[in-house]
Amino acid sequence: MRKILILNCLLSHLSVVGLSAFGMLLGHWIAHHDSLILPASAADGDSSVTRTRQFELVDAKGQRRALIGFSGEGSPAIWFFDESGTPRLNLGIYGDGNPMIVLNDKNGQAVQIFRSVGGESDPVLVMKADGRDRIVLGLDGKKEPYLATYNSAGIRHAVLGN
Amino acid sequence: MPFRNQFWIVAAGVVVGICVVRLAGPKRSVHVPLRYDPMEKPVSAASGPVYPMIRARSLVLGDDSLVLGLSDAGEPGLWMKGNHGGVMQMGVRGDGFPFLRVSDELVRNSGSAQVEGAAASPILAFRHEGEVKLIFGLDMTHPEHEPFLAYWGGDGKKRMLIGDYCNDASRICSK
Repeated sequence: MRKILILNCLLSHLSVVGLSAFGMLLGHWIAHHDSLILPASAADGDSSVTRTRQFELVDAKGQRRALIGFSGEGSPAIWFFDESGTPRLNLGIYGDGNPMIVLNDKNGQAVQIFRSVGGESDPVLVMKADGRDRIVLGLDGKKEPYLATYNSAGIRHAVLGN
Repeated sequence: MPFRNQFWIVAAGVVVGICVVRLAGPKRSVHVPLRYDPMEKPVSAASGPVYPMIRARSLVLGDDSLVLGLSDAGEPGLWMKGNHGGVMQMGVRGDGFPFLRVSDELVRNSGSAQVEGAAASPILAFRHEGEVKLIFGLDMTHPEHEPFLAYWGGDGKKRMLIGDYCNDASRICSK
Protein backbone atom coordinates (compact mmCIF):
# COMPACT_ATOMS: atom_id res chain seq x y z
CA MET A 1 0.00 0.00 0.00
CA ARG A 2 2.80 2.35 0.96
CA LYS A 3 4.60 1.54 -2.30
CA ILE A 4 1.46 2.39 -4.27
CA LEU A 5 1.17 5.71 -2.47
CA ILE A 6 4.82 6.51 -3.21
CA LEU A 7 4.37 5.49 -6.83
CA ASN A 8 1.25 7.70 -7.14
CA CYS A 9 3.10 10.61 -5.58
CA LEU A 10 6.04 10.08 -7.92
CA LEU A 11 3.78 9.86 -10.96
CA SER A 12 1.99 13.01 -9.88
CA HIS A 13 5.27 14.91 -9.59
CA LEU A 14 6.50 13.51 -12.88
CA SER A 15 3.29 14.52 -14.62
CA VAL A 16 3.67 18.09 -13.26
CA VAL A 17 7.22 18.23 -14.58
CA GLY A 18 6.22 16.63 -17.88
CA LEU A 19 3.21 18.85 -18.42
CA SER A 20 5.09 22.02 -17.58
CA ALA A 21 7.92 20.96 -19.91
CA PHE A 22 5.36 20.30 -22.64
CA GLY A 23 3.83 23.73 -21.99
CA MET A 24 7.22 25.42 -22.22
CA LEU A 25 8.01 23.67 -25.48
CA LEU A 26 4.61 24.72 -26.79
CA GLY A 27 5.25 28.31 -25.67
CA HIS A 28 8.65 28.24 -27.33
CA TRP A 29 7.08 27.10 -30.59
CA ILE A 30 4.32 29.71 -30.36
CA ALA A 31 6.84 32.50 -29.79
CA HIS A 32 8.67 31.52 -32.97
CA HIS A 33 5.54 31.10 -35.05
CA ASP A 34 3.35 33.92 -33.81
CA SER A 35 2.89 35.14 -37.37
CA LEU A 36 0.96 31.95 -38.05
CA ILE A 37 -1.37 32.71 -35.19
CA LEU A 38 -1.69 36.49 -35.33
CA PRO A 39 -3.69 37.99 -38.20
CA ALA A 40 -1.49 38.86 -41.17
CA SER A 41 -2.30 42.56 -40.95
CA ALA A 42 -1.06 42.70 -37.40
CA ALA A 43 2.01 40.55 -37.99
CA ASP A 44 3.33 41.92 -41.26
CA GLY A 45 1.34 45.05 -41.87
CA ASP A 46 0.05 43.84 -45.24
CA SER A 47 -2.38 46.71 -45.44
CA SER A 48 0.49 49.18 -45.02
CA VAL A 49 2.23 47.99 -48.17
CA THR A 50 1.31 49.44 -51.52
CA ARG A 51 2.87 47.72 -54.49
CA THR A 52 3.35 49.28 -57.86
CA ARG A 53 5.53 48.98 -60.91
CA GLN A 54 6.05 52.71 -61.23
CA PHE A 55 5.70 55.72 -58.98
CA GLU A 56 5.58 59.28 -60.28
CA LEU A 57 5.98 62.36 -58.15
CA VAL A 58 4.14 65.27 -59.73
CA ASP A 59 4.23 68.96 -58.88
CA ALA A 60 1.29 71.34 -58.59
CA LYS A 61 1.18 71.68 -62.39
CA GLY A 62 0.94 67.92 -62.78
CA GLN A 63 4.45 67.78 -64.22
CA ARG A 64 6.53 64.71 -63.46
CA ARG A 65 9.41 65.63 -61.11
CA ALA A 66 10.57 62.25 -59.89
CA LEU A 67 10.09 58.71 -61.03
CA ILE A 68 10.70 55.36 -59.38
CA GLY A 69 10.52 52.59 -61.91
CA PHE A 70 12.47 50.33 -64.16
CA SER A 71 15.08 51.34 -66.71
CA GLY A 72 15.17 50.11 -70.30
CA GLU A 73 17.48 47.37 -69.02
CA GLY A 74 14.78 46.19 -66.67
CA SER A 75 16.52 47.21 -63.46
CA PRO A 76 15.12 49.53 -60.78
CA ALA A 77 16.04 53.21 -60.64
CA ILE A 78 14.98 56.63 -59.39
CA TRP A 79 15.12 59.77 -61.52
CA PHE A 80 14.76 63.36 -60.36
CA PHE A 81 13.82 65.96 -62.97
CA ASP A 82 14.32 69.72 -63.00
CA GLU A 83 11.61 72.17 -63.95
CA SER A 84 12.29 71.68 -67.65
CA GLY A 85 11.85 67.92 -67.35
CA THR A 86 15.56 67.12 -67.72
CA PRO A 87 16.80 64.27 -65.52
CA ARG A 88 19.34 65.79 -63.09
CA LEU A 89 19.87 62.99 -60.61
CA ASN A 90 19.61 59.29 -61.24
CA LEU A 91 20.33 56.37 -58.99
CA GLY A 92 19.67 52.74 -59.45
CA ILE A 93 21.04 49.52 -60.81
CA TYR A 94 22.54 48.97 -64.25
CA GLY A 95 21.47 46.00 -66.31
CA ASP A 96 24.66 44.14 -65.34
CA GLY A 97 23.75 44.46 -61.66
CA ASN A 98 26.13 47.25 -60.73
CA PRO A 99 24.66 50.15 -58.74
CA MET A 100 25.16 53.79 -59.70
CA ILE A 101 24.45 57.39 -58.72
CA VAL A 102 24.68 59.95 -61.51
CA LEU A 103 24.47 63.76 -61.30
CA ASN A 104 23.69 65.52 -64.58
CA ASP A 105 24.05 69.03 -65.94
CA LYS A 106 21.13 71.02 -67.31
CA ASN A 107 21.38 69.17 -70.62
CA GLY A 108 21.03 65.83 -68.92
CA GLN A 109 24.68 65.00 -69.53
CA ALA A 110 26.44 63.13 -66.73
CA VAL A 111 29.03 65.18 -64.81
CA GLN A 112 29.52 63.01 -61.74
CA ILE A 113 29.16 59.25 -61.63
CA PHE A 114 29.61 57.09 -58.59
CA ARG A 115 29.20 53.44 -59.45
CA SER A 116 30.68 49.98 -59.36
CA VAL A 117 32.11 48.34 -62.42
CA GLY A 118 32.51 44.80 -63.71
CA GLY A 119 31.85 41.39 -62.33
CA GLU A 120 33.67 42.17 -59.09
CA SER A 121 31.92 45.51 -58.65
CA ASP A 122 35.03 47.67 -58.31
CA PRO A 123 33.99 51.10 -57.00
CA VAL A 124 34.73 54.14 -59.13
CA LEU A 125 34.01 57.86 -59.03
CA VAL A 126 34.16 59.76 -62.32
CA MET A 127 33.92 63.53 -62.75
CA LYS A 128 33.37 64.93 -66.21
CA ALA A 129 33.40 68.23 -68.04
CA ASP A 130 31.99 68.68 -71.52
CA GLY A 131 31.36 64.94 -71.72
CA ARG A 132 34.99 63.99 -71.07
CA ASP A 133 36.44 62.26 -68.03
CA ARG A 134 38.55 64.69 -65.97
CA ILE A 135 38.87 62.81 -62.68
CA VAL A 136 38.71 59.07 -62.16
CA LEU A 137 39.08 57.65 -58.65
CA GLY A 138 38.55 54.08 -57.62
CA LEU A 139 39.88 50.62 -57.10
CA ASP A 140 41.32 48.70 -60.03
CA GLY A 141 40.90 45.03 -60.90
CA LYS A 142 43.60 44.11 -58.37
CA LYS A 143 41.73 46.14 -55.72
CA GLU A 144 44.47 48.76 -55.64
CA PRO A 145 43.41 52.40 -55.34
CA TYR A 146 44.07 54.82 -58.15
CA LEU A 147 43.38 58.46 -58.86
CA ALA A 148 43.91 59.95 -62.29
CA THR A 149 43.21 63.42 -63.59
CA TYR A 150 42.99 64.58 -67.19
CA ASN A 151 43.75 68.09 -68.33
CA SER A 152 41.69 69.98 -70.88
CA ALA A 153 43.80 68.47 -73.68
CA GLY A 154 42.94 64.96 -72.45
CA ILE A 155 46.43 64.20 -71.15
CA ARG A 156 46.31 61.82 -68.23
CA HIS A 157 48.13 62.40 -64.98
CA ALA A 158 48.27 59.53 -62.49
CA VAL A 159 48.11 61.02 -59.01
CA LEU A 160 47.86 57.70 -57.26
CA GLY A 161 48.23 54.12 -58.47
CA ASN A 162 47.97 53.13 -62.07
CA MET B 1 -4.28 14.79 -10.89
CA PRO B 2 -7.48 16.71 -11.77
CA PHE B 3 -7.74 17.85 -15.37
CA ARG B 4 -8.07 21.51 -14.27
CA ASN B 5 -4.70 21.36 -12.57
CA GLN B 6 -3.11 19.78 -15.64
CA PHE B 7 -4.47 22.60 -17.81
CA TRP B 8 -3.02 25.31 -15.59
CA ILE B 9 0.35 23.56 -15.44
CA VAL B 10 0.52 23.43 -19.26
CA ALA B 11 -0.70 27.04 -19.51
CA ALA B 12 1.95 28.19 -17.06
CA GLY B 13 4.52 26.30 -19.11
CA VAL B 14 3.36 28.02 -22.29
CA VAL B 15 3.67 31.44 -20.67
CA VAL B 16 7.12 30.62 -19.32
CA GLY B 17 8.17 29.28 -22.73
CA ILE B 18 7.05 32.43 -24.54
CA CYS B 19 8.70 34.65 -21.94
CA VAL B 20 11.97 32.75 -22.20
CA VAL B 21 12.03 33.13 -26.00
CA ARG B 22 11.03 36.81 -25.86
CA LEU B 23 13.51 37.79 -23.16
CA ALA B 24 16.45 35.52 -23.80
CA GLY B 25 15.99 34.58 -27.43
CA PRO B 26 17.50 36.40 -30.38
CA LYS B 27 15.91 39.75 -31.10
CA ARG B 28 14.23 39.69 -34.47
CA SER B 29 13.90 43.43 -34.90
CA VAL B 30 17.22 44.97 -33.99
CA HIS B 31 18.17 48.38 -35.30
CA VAL B 32 21.63 48.23 -36.82
CA PRO B 33 23.19 51.69 -37.12
CA LEU B 34 24.38 52.31 -40.66
CA ARG B 35 28.12 52.81 -40.68
CA TYR B 36 30.21 51.28 -43.40
CA ASP B 37 28.24 48.09 -43.54
CA PRO B 38 25.69 47.33 -46.19
CA MET B 39 22.13 47.94 -45.21
CA GLU B 40 19.87 45.03 -44.55
CA LYS B 41 17.53 44.20 -47.34
CA PRO B 42 14.00 45.46 -46.80
CA VAL B 43 11.47 42.86 -45.85
CA SER B 44 9.71 41.82 -49.01
CA ALA B 45 6.09 42.70 -49.21
CA ALA B 46 3.52 40.00 -48.92
CA SER B 47 1.18 39.28 -51.76
CA GLY B 48 -1.25 42.00 -52.74
CA PRO B 49 -2.43 43.99 -55.71
CA VAL B 50 0.28 45.50 -57.91
CA TYR B 51 -0.75 48.81 -59.40
CA PRO B 52 0.71 49.58 -62.84
CA MET B 53 1.43 53.15 -61.80
CA ILE B 54 0.84 55.50 -58.89
CA ARG B 55 1.06 59.26 -59.25
CA ALA B 56 1.16 61.46 -56.18
CA ARG B 57 2.41 64.78 -54.80
CA SER B 58 4.42 62.97 -52.14
CA LEU B 59 5.34 59.56 -50.88
CA VAL B 60 5.84 59.08 -47.15
CA LEU B 61 7.02 55.92 -45.47
CA GLY B 62 6.35 55.38 -41.81
CA ASP B 63 6.67 58.29 -39.46
CA ASP B 64 8.24 60.62 -42.06
CA SER B 65 11.39 58.52 -41.98
CA LEU B 66 11.38 58.60 -45.76
CA VAL B 67 9.75 61.33 -47.79
CA LEU B 68 9.81 61.65 -51.54
CA GLY B 69 8.30 64.99 -52.34
CA LEU B 70 8.83 68.59 -53.28
CA SER B 71 11.00 71.01 -51.34
CA ASP B 72 9.93 74.52 -50.32
CA ALA B 73 11.54 75.65 -53.58
CA GLY B 74 9.26 73.29 -55.46
CA GLU B 75 12.05 70.92 -56.50
CA PRO B 76 11.90 67.16 -56.10
CA GLY B 77 13.86 65.43 -53.36
CA LEU B 78 14.16 62.34 -51.27
CA TRP B 79 14.72 62.73 -47.54
CA MET B 80 15.58 59.87 -45.24
CA LYS B 81 16.27 60.11 -41.54
CA GLY B 82 17.60 57.40 -39.30
CA ASN B 83 16.70 56.55 -35.73
CA HIS B 84 19.92 58.08 -34.43
CA GLY B 85 19.91 61.39 -36.26
CA GLY B 86 21.53 60.47 -39.56
CA VAL B 87 19.99 62.11 -42.56
CA MET B 88 20.28 61.43 -46.26
CA GLN B 89 18.98 63.91 -48.77
CA MET B 90 19.09 63.91 -52.52
CA GLY B 91 17.34 65.63 -55.33
CA VAL B 92 17.35 68.91 -57.20
CA ARG B 93 18.07 72.24 -55.50
CA GLY B 94 16.17 75.45 -56.14
CA ASP B 95 18.82 76.51 -58.68
CA GLY B 96 18.29 73.28 -60.62
CA PHE B 97 21.52 71.56 -59.59
CA PRO B 98 21.40 67.99 -58.33
CA PHE B 99 22.85 67.01 -54.99
CA LEU B 100 23.22 64.07 -52.66
CA ARG B 101 24.15 64.52 -49.03
CA VAL B 102 24.65 62.32 -45.99
CA SER B 103 24.81 64.19 -42.72
CA ASP B 104 23.87 64.43 -39.09
CA GLU B 105 20.48 65.82 -38.16
CA LEU B 106 21.61 69.46 -38.06
CA VAL B 107 23.70 69.08 -41.22
CA ARG B 108 26.82 70.16 -39.31
CA ASN B 109 28.83 67.16 -40.39
CA SER B 110 28.26 65.98 -43.89
CA GLY B 111 29.52 64.49 -47.08
CA SER B 112 27.98 65.69 -50.28
CA ALA B 113 28.17 65.18 -53.99
CA GLN B 114 26.81 68.09 -55.94
CA VAL B 115 27.06 70.12 -59.10
CA GLU B 116 28.04 73.79 -58.88
CA GLY B 117 28.70 76.86 -60.98
CA ALA B 118 27.96 78.06 -64.46
CA ALA B 119 29.87 75.17 -65.99
CA ALA B 120 28.05 72.57 -63.85
CA SER B 121 31.24 71.37 -62.14
CA PRO B 122 31.03 68.14 -60.16
CA ILE B 123 32.04 68.60 -56.52
CA LEU B 124 32.55 66.25 -53.62
CA ALA B 125 32.79 67.93 -50.21
CA PHE B 126 33.18 66.81 -46.62
CA ARG B 127 32.24 69.18 -43.82
CA HIS B 128 32.87 69.08 -40.09
CA GLU B 129 30.96 71.40 -37.78
CA GLY B 130 29.75 73.26 -40.83
CA GLU B 131 33.20 73.97 -42.23
CA VAL B 132 34.55 72.41 -45.39
CA LYS B 133 37.45 70.12 -44.54
CA LEU B 134 37.95 68.52 -47.92
CA ILE B 135 36.72 69.48 -51.34
CA PHE B 136 37.38 67.66 -54.55
CA GLY B 137 36.18 68.29 -58.06
CA LEU B 138 36.54 70.36 -61.19
CA ASP B 139 37.20 74.09 -61.14
CA MET B 140 33.95 76.04 -60.97
CA THR B 141 35.23 79.31 -62.39
CA HIS B 142 38.08 78.57 -64.73
CA PRO B 143 36.94 77.73 -68.29
CA GLU B 144 39.31 74.76 -68.48
CA HIS B 145 37.66 73.11 -65.46
CA GLU B 146 40.93 71.78 -64.06
CA PRO B 147 40.71 69.12 -61.32
CA PHE B 148 41.46 70.16 -57.76
CA LEU B 149 41.58 68.60 -54.32
CA ALA B 150 41.89 70.89 -51.31
CA TYR B 151 41.81 70.07 -47.63
CA TRP B 152 42.09 71.93 -44.36
CA GLY B 153 44.16 70.62 -41.45
CA GLY B 154 43.77 71.28 -37.75
CA ASP B 155 45.49 74.67 -38.14
CA GLY B 156 42.74 75.80 -40.51
CA LYS B 157 45.10 76.33 -43.40
CA LYS B 158 44.13 75.27 -46.86
CA ARG B 159 46.38 72.77 -48.55
CA MET B 160 46.20 71.77 -52.17
CA LEU B 161 46.82 68.18 -53.18
CA ILE B 162 45.73 68.63 -56.78
CA GLY B 163 45.32 71.83 -58.79
CA ASP B 164 43.98 74.98 -57.24
CA TYR B 165 40.76 75.82 -55.47
CA CYS B 166 39.29 79.21 -54.78
CA ASN B 167 37.44 79.17 -51.50
CA ASP B 168 36.70 82.87 -51.45
CA ALA B 169 32.98 83.47 -51.36
CA SER B 170 33.35 85.91 -54.21
CA ARG B 171 35.19 83.26 -56.21
CA ILE B 172 37.89 85.85 -56.88
CA CYS B 173 41.18 84.28 -55.94
CA SER B 174 44.68 85.27 -56.83
CA LYS B 175 46.65 82.23 -57.83
